[in-house]
Amino acid sequence: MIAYGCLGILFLFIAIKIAVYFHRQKKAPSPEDLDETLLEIANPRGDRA
Amino acid sequence: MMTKKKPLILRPYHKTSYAYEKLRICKHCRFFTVLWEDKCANCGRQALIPVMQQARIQAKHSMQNERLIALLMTLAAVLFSQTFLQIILSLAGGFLLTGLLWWVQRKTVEPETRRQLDKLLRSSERRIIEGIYMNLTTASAAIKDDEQLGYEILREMATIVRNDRIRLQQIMLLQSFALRKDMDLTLEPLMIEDFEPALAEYIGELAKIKRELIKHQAIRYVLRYEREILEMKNGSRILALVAGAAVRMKTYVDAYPDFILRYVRQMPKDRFLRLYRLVRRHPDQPWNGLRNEVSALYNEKYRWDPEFQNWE
Ligand SMILES: [Zn+2]
Repeated sequence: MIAYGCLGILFLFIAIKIAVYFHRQKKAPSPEDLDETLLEIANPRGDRA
Repeated sequence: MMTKKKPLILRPYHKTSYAYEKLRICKHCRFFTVLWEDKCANCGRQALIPVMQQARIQAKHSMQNERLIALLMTLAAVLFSQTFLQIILSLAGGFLLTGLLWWVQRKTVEPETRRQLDKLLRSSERRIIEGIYMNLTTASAAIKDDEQLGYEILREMATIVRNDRIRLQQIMLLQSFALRKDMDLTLEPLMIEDFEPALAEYIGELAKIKRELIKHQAIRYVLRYEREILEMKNGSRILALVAGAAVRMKTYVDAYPDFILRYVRQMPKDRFLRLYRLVRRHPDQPWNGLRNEVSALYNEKYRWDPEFQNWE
């Protein structure tokens, strides 16, 4: 029976992981967001135009 | 500014869609750089890779770990199996679930990579600034003995570092070169807010050799600082050149007829010819008196000029 318990845990693990992946896919930053993040880091003190 | 200008061939600039594509990280010491050096300036190893590649490695690494955990759980299920049927079911179920995870992971590599890059950037704030500072030091050292290299470094840096100081430095360096039409020149990224004689001169030079770069932004700049430019030694020449570049498109004549009117008499002949043809093609546009002035100038100076006769 322990074998089925392991499989059950594996099933839960995979189900959670897949849910997390799809959730992150929706919230992932776009390339434009990443550019903005980098420019904010590289140009502190708000002296960029 | 009648210093001798240097002839040179600028290396082409590879424009990327996004600024972060210019940023690389050392796999070994995690030092950042914007430049194109082979070896890491910090540890000396050839371990520089684009940040996107590093983010992808991180994303794939964490995905791999998850698959490993899934396989270990499968193994545990097999080990705890009491019958042959249980072994078969554990193996089949484990592989099926791991396969499903792998399939989802493959589908989400791209967003995961972007998420990892975001994490990498945010957690490396200090090291990115240090890398940029190091690059700028390299630039100022280069400017001293190789102005061309110095300019190329600054041009590369300017994709990520955006301030008037780095723009002005580039303009100053450009002004020390003999610029040519076939050079990979830009204007818009170098535009600064305040009046700067070097920028006005650079705009004038572009209006002569690369007219297509003179757009609304540049015309508005010379208009805003017209008084200051007129105080410069060849200021009215700069303005006439810009007006001459503006007449290449009807949009600019529509937008700035007064400005063109003020400098129409100082325009080179080929530019006036261009304007004359444009005016003739649009008989219903008075352009705030510009049309009359063009006619008057034509009658005074170019009436008998053969180039002005066969214009269609
Ligand atoms: Zn290194």
